[in-house]
Amino acid sequence: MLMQDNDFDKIFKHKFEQVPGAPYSEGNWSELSQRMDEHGRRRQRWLIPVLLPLLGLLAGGNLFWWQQWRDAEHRFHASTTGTTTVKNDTVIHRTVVYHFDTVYQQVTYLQPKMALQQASQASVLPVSATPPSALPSLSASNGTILASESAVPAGQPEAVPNSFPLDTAQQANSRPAPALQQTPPGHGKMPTPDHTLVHKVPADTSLLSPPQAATAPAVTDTTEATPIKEQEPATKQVKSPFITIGRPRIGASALLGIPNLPDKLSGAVLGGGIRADIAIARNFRLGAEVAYQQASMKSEDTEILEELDIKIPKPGGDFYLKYWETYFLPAFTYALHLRYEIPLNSSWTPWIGAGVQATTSLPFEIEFEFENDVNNLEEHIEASSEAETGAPAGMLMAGAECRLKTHLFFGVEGFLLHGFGEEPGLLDRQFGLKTSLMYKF
Amino acid sequence: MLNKTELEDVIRGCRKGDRYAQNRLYRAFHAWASVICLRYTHDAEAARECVQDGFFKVFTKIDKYGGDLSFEAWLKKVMINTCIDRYRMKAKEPETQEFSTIHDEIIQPETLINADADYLLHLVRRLPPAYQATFNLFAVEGFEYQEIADMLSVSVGSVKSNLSKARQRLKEMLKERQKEDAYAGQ
Repeated sequence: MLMQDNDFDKIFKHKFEQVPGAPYSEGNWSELSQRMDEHGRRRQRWLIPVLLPLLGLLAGGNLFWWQQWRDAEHRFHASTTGTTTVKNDTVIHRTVVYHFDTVYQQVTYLQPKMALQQASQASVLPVSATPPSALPSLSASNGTILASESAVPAGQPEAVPNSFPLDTAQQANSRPAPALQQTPPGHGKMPTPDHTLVHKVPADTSLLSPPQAATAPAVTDTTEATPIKEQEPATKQVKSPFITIGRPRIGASALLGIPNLPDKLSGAVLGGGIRADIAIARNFRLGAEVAYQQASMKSEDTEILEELDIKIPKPGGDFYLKYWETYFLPAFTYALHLRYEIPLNSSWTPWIGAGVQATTSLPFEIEFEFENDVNNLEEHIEASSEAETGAPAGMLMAGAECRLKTHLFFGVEGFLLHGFGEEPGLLDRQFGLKTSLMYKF
Repeated sequence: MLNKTELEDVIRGCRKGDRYAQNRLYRAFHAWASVICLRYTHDAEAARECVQDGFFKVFTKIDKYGGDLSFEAWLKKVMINTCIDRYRMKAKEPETQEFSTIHDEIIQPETLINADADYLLHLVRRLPPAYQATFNLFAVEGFEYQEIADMLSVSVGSVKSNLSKARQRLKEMLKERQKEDAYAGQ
């Protein structure tokens, strides 16, 4: 009897339903479990390039604002105000303001009678009413202590005690203020309790460097509201020679980059390295950097992979490549750059630069995702790449640096890397941000 | 096997990446999935790899399971697709093996009915990959010609041809077995 095809097929189907199948194996489950763990780690690795730069930005921002806060705190504490009783009949009211490298000091001598008068008056003396922040506007030049006297009674210059802490400057400058001391009572320039006289006296040589010659004391009655002309600095600014080799620095850098691939779907580069630079000319620095980078990227274009001799799998049929992806592309980079620091009178020094960078990419795995557009079947194929060092790529940079401490610099910079060779590496085209911390010897 | 409530709990756990839930699912469906994979592969190791790959896809893409199919049907689809992917990788070009004698073999129904299930599975696994996949998809899974053509990325004519040749080949092998049994009976 000839069997029909349908019957033939049904018997096979029926028989196959009786096949028991392979029993559960703990070994197989362990293998699958490990594979799942690895898959999870790969996904987590993707988070690292996203989270770390955010943390870096957060830390950098905190550092910046902490620095600003510390500077402000320093300025606040530097502006001290104190009252010293030298003799029973004399009160010295002193205000000192440190503004950058200039010291402003305002001293008021009061006799108890005057002090009582002040207390009884609703308005205070101009000295005490003058905010410390306004004092720098009265300064004449760096290295000069600005002292103001008020309410010094005529004919009583001896009231200024020799034991006053600023005696060194005071004796040398305030005493030879003949205009003040020799002015008869009732003269228009005679200080009164409501008036303030400002003396410019040389800075304490222990505070200021280099020492400057004592300037001639000047007496100004601030009640006339006449602006004080600024005096020329005692010393001229001297420029360093153009060719200056020295001032080496060494430090660390962190990087967040975005790969610039054709048809890129996503990607990020995270890295860190060490760098050093040295001044080679006025405002020019030559630097070198070695860094380790790891990247993750996803793209639809395979041309760049073919240029890197990475074999593209071909599942055939109606399968087309949806994308390729790598979660972990490790690489070492070597860069040489030259920067020009723009001289500005600011706490931040901007700079621009250019350089070259070569990359050695270590072996990494690539996953290709294919899809059949007819039946939506997906094909997942893995491939790997070998270590390779590409031709150097050109790099443009711009950034700014600020001095955290005497020898410590913090910098932020942006960069654009572009490989010009025929076979640029996967990391040879990117842009991003770097932060650096440098120690200057 | 899990009842409906347990299965829903397990699927919910798998969606959260709960390893315990994944283990329960794996334990419950491993044997059932391995039968599917055994039919589409040529040796036990290949079938084991297909099962592992299939469950890996199930666990990583379980979010795509929408509930329009029963979970068993979805799992079966994933396993078959995994096997077909493997077939596509291992045998990119369809077998063009021709048999020396292309004529309909006469098989006694008793020979087939009395045959052991494992023996029939063994015969199917001896088929060339294209025939094996086509025969399984049509005879066992019940897909239409056009569906099979889409799944295997071949024409409907190729499906029919491969199916016919698969049956012919199986009948040849069964005929040899029938002759051996006849000799053994004498």
